[in-house]
Amino acid sequence: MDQTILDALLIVHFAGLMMGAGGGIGSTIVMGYARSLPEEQAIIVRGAGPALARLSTFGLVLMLVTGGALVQFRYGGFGAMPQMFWVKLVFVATLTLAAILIEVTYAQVKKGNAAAAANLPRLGPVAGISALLAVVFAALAFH
Amino acid sequence: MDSALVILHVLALMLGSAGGFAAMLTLGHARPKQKEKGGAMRGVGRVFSTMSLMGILVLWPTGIALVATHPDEYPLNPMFWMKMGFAIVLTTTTVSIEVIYARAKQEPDLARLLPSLKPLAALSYIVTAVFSVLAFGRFA
Repeated sequence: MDQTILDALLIVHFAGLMMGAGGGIGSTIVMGYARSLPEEQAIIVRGAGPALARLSTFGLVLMLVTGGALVQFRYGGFGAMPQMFWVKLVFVATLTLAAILIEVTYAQVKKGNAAAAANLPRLGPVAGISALLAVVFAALAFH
Repeated sequence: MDSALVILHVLALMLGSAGGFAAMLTLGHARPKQKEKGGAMRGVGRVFSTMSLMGILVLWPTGIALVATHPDEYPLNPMFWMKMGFAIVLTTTTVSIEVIYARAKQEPDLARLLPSLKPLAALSYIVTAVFSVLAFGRFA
């Protein structure tokens, strides 16, 4: 495949990483920070949570799509990938699951189920640690 | 050692860009008056700006170490210098944001610059990563 297209895929992959990290870490920090504020201010700060989670999900979707394309067109398919890549994929899977659950939780909160928000302090760190480990094993797989 | 440097560099990118993107998004979410006068959102904005600065402080030494120890893998081609240009823009912007937060109480008018500087910082992260890929065929 043309090098320009491979470069474009990689650029979008890293843009996805930055958006994913921005939304994921940002959402966790916003929720933690809101707990330290009086309720009327906490509501304002918490309001940014769903937008940050959406940014994270968008970044993750970009990474999944471009990652699959890069494996296929740059490395010759999944059969050619090293062991560390499969470890990375495990953490990508847990990250994806956590991101979906965060989206579902925000949807429930929006519908009026405020109690569902109690899951967010657990899901945020799961997503964050999964993203961190996925990056570590990506570096080990490709360098 | 090589993998450790790459891992640190990419983790710093995650930390820094997380601060940059989250700051831009929360700024967009804040009501127009809050952007200039402060309020609940300003506190979290300061946290994000410090995160971004921490990321940049790790990106510079690890990036220089990677280039210095592997000149064959990281050639100093024109795309590399484009990347450096935007890395300097990013660093200057991020330091400026941090200074504005530090002086916000004494000079509240400075906060008017934040709605311009935060998107510039996030955009600089993207453009720096673009030129990294164009220079090296990968990010790090």
